[in-house]
Amino acid sequence: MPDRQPQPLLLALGNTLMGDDGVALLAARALQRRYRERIDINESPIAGFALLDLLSGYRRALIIDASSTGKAPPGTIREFHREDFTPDVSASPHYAGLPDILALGSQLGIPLPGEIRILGMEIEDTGMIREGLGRAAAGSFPEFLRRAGEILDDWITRV
Amino acid sequence: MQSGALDTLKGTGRRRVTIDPITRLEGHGKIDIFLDEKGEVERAYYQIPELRGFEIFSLGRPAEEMPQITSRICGVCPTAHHMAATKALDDLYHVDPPPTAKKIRQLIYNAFMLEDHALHVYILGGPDFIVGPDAPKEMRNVAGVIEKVGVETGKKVIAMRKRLRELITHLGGKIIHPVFGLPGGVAKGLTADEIPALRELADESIEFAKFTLGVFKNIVLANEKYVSLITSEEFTHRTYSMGLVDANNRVNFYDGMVRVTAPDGKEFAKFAPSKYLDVIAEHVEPWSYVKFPYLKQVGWNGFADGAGSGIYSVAPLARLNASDGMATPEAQKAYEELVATLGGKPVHHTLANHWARVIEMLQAAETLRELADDPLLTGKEIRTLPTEKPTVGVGIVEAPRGTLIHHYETDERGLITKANLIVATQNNAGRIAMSVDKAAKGLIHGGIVNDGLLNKIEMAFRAYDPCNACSTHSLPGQMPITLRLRNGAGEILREIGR
Repeated sequence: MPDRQPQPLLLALGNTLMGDDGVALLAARALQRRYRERIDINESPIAGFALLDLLSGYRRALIIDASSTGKAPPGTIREFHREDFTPDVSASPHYAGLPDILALGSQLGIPLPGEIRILGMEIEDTGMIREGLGRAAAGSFPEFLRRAGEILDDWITRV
Repeated sequence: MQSGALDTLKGTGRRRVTIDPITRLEGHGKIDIFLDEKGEVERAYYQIPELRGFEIFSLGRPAEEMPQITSRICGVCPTAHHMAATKALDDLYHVDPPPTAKKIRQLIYNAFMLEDHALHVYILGGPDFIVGPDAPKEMRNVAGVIEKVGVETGKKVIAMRKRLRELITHLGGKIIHPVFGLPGGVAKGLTADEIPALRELADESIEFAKFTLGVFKNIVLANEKYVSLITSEEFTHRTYSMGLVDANNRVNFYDGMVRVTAPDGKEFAKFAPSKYLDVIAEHVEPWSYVKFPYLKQVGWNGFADGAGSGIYSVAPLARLNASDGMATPEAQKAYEELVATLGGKPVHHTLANHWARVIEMLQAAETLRELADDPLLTGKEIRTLPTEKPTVGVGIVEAPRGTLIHHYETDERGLITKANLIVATQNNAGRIAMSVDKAAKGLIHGGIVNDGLLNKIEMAFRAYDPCNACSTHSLPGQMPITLRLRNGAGEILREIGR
């Protein structure tokens, strides 16, 4: 499959009906105006194997997402690397993660980005259906935008 | 559970093993296994998250928004929620969709079931059976599956999945935000020029499902070790079974009556969706947020097998048990082979869910073909407009993971005054809890816990394809597991991480 777009991809994962879980989607919407001409921006409430469809054909992708590792306070922003993810048996294919997708792409010759960066914000996972961010996520939101923008700016200048 | 439970262990000499998802699924799908002084399992608990706040969120919203809202809540199977909500609106507005609209809904729904099941069979069941439960953990993943079945098969799976998703998108709008369902019908019809491509895809789907059945037979059923694992007592529960059936008591994913069969296979109940509260009640346990559904008429008698326990199961195997067979010819043949191989009906071996899932793929594919040949599919009448005041609506579909119930009540303006969902994994919660407990008791002895045993315990719940619906995405991505072996004081003696 040829590159469908020469532009980098910003992919936001999450669900705005689950409170903080939607932080990346809100960030992508906030970054729209500044980057929409130079970056493909996509949102998805589904991950798992949907990542295969969403990532294929791109050379560079920035994935932004909420994380709930419980290892840092809500609002903490962290860049994850490929080494943070190891392929494993998942409880469900819907939770199949990035390493599975990358391994599958490599085995089956599906073109996936050579450069993937992943930015996550630790969230307060309440399990409640609600809209809007909690205090910690809202407080870190500008920094989340700044960090994502930094990566995108770097890519734009390199294109 | 957790810190409180640890405190109670102090000074008792007992130990606790925790299989604990450490990612964003924290608190979701957690397994705690309590060992006594001799290292034998006292009790294992599997905790499923419950979606909270749904009713409060829904109150005062127009009922017409529910198919969109509920499909957004669940990032795993939005099509199932969209369909159950749409059917609930039919009932709420007392309107019967025209035949063409029903056929279009069934077309989309069967394509969805096929695609979802295929993903499960190859990606989820694959590591357990295609690669093998005793294979090294570094092989029990997608890469291991592809290595075993071959790159060409892998490409076939991905290509089929892509085409089915394109069909669903074409007919129903984006998979993540389906928009086709309206009270009394659908938003868009089909034209005759779309049928040839649909027939072609349906034929390929049938071949693909047959091919998958072949893969399952060659790799799983031909291996005596796997078959004895499937039929082993550790993975067997004789519970009631529930599923939707058509007028001939055949499996139906989209519509029909809900049928319940007893552990001996005899019909126990058959009811219209609107009567579900007459049959199902919910039980609360102190260690879980989940309300465990059970059969009201039998009663809650703890986590126990048999006709005296109201616990029932849903999902592929339960659907086969609750019916008199499949609705299409090739699927029926495959069903008869399953029943004959596993010692007659009903089949109570949890791991046979994987086989049942493949048989359902075949029915979904054959149904696509039947619909493609049906002249009513391209009819012009696709909606019956509601004219009556809304009151109460219940919609039930068979989601890939089992019976899914949506129940709404509104005022006369159509604004929600009550909303209730019972999702498939909740219907299965009692049986999943029993499965994890039984597998742990059967497999862990003398305090010996290793990665292989851990995987086999996980297999007990993976067979159900549990859907922890409110965790929708993936950072870090998979569901890593840590297992902690603790002494009675809560100190970690050993930790196994993945």
